[in-house]
Amino acid sequence: MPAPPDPALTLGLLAERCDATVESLLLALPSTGDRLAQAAVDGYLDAVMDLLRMLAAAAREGAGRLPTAPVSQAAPHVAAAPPWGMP
Amino acid sequence: MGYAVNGAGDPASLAATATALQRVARDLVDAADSLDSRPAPGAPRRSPANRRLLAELADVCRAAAAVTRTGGDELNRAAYSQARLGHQSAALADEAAAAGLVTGPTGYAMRPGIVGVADPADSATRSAHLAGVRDRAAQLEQHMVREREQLIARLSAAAADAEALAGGLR
Repeated sequence: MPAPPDPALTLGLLAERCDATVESLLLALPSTGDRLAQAAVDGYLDAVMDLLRMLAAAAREGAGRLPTAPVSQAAPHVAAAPPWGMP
Repeated sequence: MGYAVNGAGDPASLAATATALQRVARDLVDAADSLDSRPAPGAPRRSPANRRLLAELADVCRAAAAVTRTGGDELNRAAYSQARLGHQSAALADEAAAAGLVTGPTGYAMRPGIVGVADPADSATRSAHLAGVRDRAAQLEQHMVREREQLIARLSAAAADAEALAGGLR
């Protein structure tokens, strides 16, 4: 994952990655062929998915509390025409 | 086998899950590094509360990365071990079949019925072969049991870490 300098963007991307991983783990069907080992794998994955959901929620909440960097700071090379029409 | 086996297992499915876990572990470390980095010049100043928030989230990301990396490593190891032991078991079964042995509910045995002439030397050879095959089958089973116990112990510890981390975020 590229690391944007704006922490609010980082947290937003982090939340998306956590959500995407939960989705992929929900679709995964790892099979150990052994009842006890399977219970351990399933229990571990349940705990990890719960952690990732909590982390995604915390990241979104944190992103909402942070000030967002101005566009000219986030992308200095930009697209540089300010919206108010200055040269 | 002497322990509960519900199926053959699927090394590819374990490896695929391991890949997803290791990928998110890398993403979590990247996110933690980014959250810990200094603000870019000209960026809004961070209040003490926000700095604390970012530092806490970075710590959680690193701890979560350790948990997911552990799980990925364990599932990868289990996938490799399962494939290798499956191959060894199949090779042993082939060798046993070629030697005229059969598998039953209690493991390898002599093929029932009358086989060949009553040659004591031949009979002794087959008995020795049976003992060797049984010994190697027992070693394979012990190895599988040991690896299963390690997998269970390590994943259970990682699950407990994940639960503690999630509890801290609630």
